[in-house]
Amino acid sequence: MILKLHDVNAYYGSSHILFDMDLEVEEGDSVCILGRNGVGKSTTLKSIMGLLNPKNHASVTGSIMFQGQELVKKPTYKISRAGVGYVPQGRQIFPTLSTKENLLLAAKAGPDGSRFWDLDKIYELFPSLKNRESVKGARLSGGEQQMLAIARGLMQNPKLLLLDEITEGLAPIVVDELVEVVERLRSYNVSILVAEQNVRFAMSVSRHCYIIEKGSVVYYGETAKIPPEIIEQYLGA
Amino acid sequence: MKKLNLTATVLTVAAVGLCLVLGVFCGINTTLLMSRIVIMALFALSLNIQTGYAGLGNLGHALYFGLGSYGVLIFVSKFGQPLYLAIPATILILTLVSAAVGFLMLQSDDKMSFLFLSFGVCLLVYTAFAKWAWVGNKTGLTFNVRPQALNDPRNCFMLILLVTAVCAALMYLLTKTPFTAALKGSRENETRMVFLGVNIKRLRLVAYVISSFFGVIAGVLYAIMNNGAYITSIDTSMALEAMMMCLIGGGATFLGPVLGAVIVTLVRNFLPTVTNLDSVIFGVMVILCCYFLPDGITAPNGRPAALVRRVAGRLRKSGSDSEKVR
Amino acid sequence: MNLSTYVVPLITGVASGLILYLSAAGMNLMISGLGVINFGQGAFFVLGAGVCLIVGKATGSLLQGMAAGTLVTFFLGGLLELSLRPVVGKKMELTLMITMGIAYILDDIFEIVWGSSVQTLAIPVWLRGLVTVGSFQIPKYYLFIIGAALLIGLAFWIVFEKTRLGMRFRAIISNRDMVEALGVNVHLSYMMMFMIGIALSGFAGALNLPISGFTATGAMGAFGAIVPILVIGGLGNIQGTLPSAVFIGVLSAVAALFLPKLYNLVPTVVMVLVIMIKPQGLFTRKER
Repeated sequence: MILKLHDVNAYYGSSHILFDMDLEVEEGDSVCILGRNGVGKSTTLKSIMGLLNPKNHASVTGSIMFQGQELVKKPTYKISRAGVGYVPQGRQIFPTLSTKENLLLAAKAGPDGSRFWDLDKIYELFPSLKNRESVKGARLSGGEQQMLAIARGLMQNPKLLLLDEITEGLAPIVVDELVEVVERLRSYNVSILVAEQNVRFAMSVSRHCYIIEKGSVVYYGETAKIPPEIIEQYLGA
Repeated sequence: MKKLNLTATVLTVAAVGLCLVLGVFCGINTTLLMSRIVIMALFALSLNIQTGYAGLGNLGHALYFGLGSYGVLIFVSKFGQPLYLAIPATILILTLVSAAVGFLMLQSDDKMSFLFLSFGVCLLVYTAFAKWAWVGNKTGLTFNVRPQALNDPRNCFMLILLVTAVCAALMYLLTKTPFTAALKGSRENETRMVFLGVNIKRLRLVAYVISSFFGVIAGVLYAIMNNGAYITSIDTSMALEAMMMCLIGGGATFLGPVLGAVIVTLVRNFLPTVTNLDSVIFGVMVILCCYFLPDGITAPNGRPAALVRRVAGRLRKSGSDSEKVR
Repeated sequence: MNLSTYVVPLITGVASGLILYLSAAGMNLMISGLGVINFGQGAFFVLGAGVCLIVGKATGSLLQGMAAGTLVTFFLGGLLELSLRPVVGKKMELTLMITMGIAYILDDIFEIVWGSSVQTLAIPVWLRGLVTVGSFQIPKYYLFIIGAALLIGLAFWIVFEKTRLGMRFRAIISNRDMVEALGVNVHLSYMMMFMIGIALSGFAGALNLPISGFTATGAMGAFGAIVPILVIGGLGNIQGTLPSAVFIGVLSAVAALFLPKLYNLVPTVVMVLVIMIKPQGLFTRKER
């Protein structure tokens, strides 16, 4: 098991968002977190990444174990170095850096020293990025920015990649491209945890699925085997 | 909670009484020092309306303090007006000016810009006055503005204390109004206030004007006390000291700035007589305060307050103690 | 008045503007990178001049003095960053109080170590005198200032746009938290930003020494001089610093011709006008 959340509670100020959350990700697996707007999907990923901290008037209690290390209360950059890559909500590409610079900034060896993902490998997987190498981040299209954000996450050589609402604001055709990209990532044995509102996308890229409602897990199972009533109940429009 | 208020009230009355005793019965030097402390307390309280309640750090408040003094001096010595006209005229004009200045400075909605601009404007006026012969360049203006009755420093002190107490009471009442609640809200959570339909710019402008109003009064008192207006009153380091009073004392409680004023004035008054390194010590003091008492001495969540609560708890009778959840 | 009466003031205006540009650029680096307004920037300006004075007198070389002034302020910048670390992220007034506290401390030290009289260092022989350019006589030292300032400005730009360090700076300036999320140790970058930001001011002070001399109480004045530049250029806007500074420098110099007593006020009056018309600064460009 590469990631294990146990009894995790998350707070923004006095707002209680996550309630006694339990979640696991097996090594090499791809897991999605589904749920309606505002249930705490993003918050879960941010909690793992250490982005809920006193500076943001937020806090996390409980245990988040990643490859035997406790992540709760660890500073974000240490969590990143431990091998967790974060592709944030809203992409957050550096606008004044070129595509290449965005990638170079993130370049580092994985926790086990591996440098598998480097500029060449990334360009192999994302050929469109190579064409836009020297373009400043601000000038990239939404889809390009999303590819860059994922690529940037990979440049860290993570053991676990967190994808936070990556289909948000993208055209369906771009979303299809993203499905391909994530599929290929899985073939490289990168463990993936996806927080998504787009049910179709999430279900086509994940093998296991958690459904969250009001900050707690209400269903867990293999993605292929989720009963339609469950989807209707918790995710129905 | 009621018991805490009683303590605060008792302490306040005792403090005022102590002030009175010190100011009137302890020799002329103490009287002058106490006069200065009380004026600084008013000055700090006025600043806190912006800094503590609205969350707007301001490094140029000395502007109104200094101009308040100069205003009185100019009206009396240059225009030959009697004091009872000079004072309201000064207050009125400067308050209107503050509305215009505040309006301009609050345009950008950015606290950092506001801080910076307040400093810049203060420095501008300081520089202008320093080179302006009509207002006495760096020497300032000296003229006998005081009425005969106030020539006794003790009478002067009592007037200062009275005016300050009245102003403080007014400001205290202000903190009980919805206006202050809205101000604090805008400090804590701007977005939310905007969604509630609150016009933050206008709110802040009103706070700025009220703050300046009382700052001018402090300057007027200072002019009366000294029979003069000096450029050091517009100096940005005066503005900085005012900020420090609010920060050291604590902006969250009403009397925090008063405590800060007392401390800063005493330190700045006595340290230079003891050592050449008084600025160094003052600087170190400020820095240490920022590290260890970031919310000031009177901060409700700070260590000094916790200590006071513990002591107060022990002094109270044991009967009520058992009900306290500590 | 013919053209030549304007040339020399123009050159001196550009030169003094460029000196202030260096100090202001340092400020903007710290403002944009860390959100810190360093009210001690003027104190480090004076310190750079002071160290330059001492070393310059001891070695007889202005250049060595300038190098010393820059180095000392460079390392002190690191100390400053460390002293600010406990309060970064807390309310903004705290960082301001600390920087001002440091300015207070330095003020006393200046007076004690250097004394209160104005002292100066002579311009080295090879920089003295006038240079004939076309039909104009221009003081050599001012050309030196312009050259040195532009050189440093260029170096700064190269580091900022073309190096890894600058890349990290740019990323931090646009999105601090994301940089941390990428595993970069931002604290080292912060420290570098401070060291460079302060060193720029120290260098500017040293450069200014032969012209204005060293005044122990000059820190606030040095700070006040860059305030209009920062506001007009846009607080935190590094790209706007150079045009803003040159603008102010030239404006002041021209104003000095017509208002010999009041030209000091011109920058601040312009600043007030800019606040009224375009509060985010004249030289800002909207990115994104």
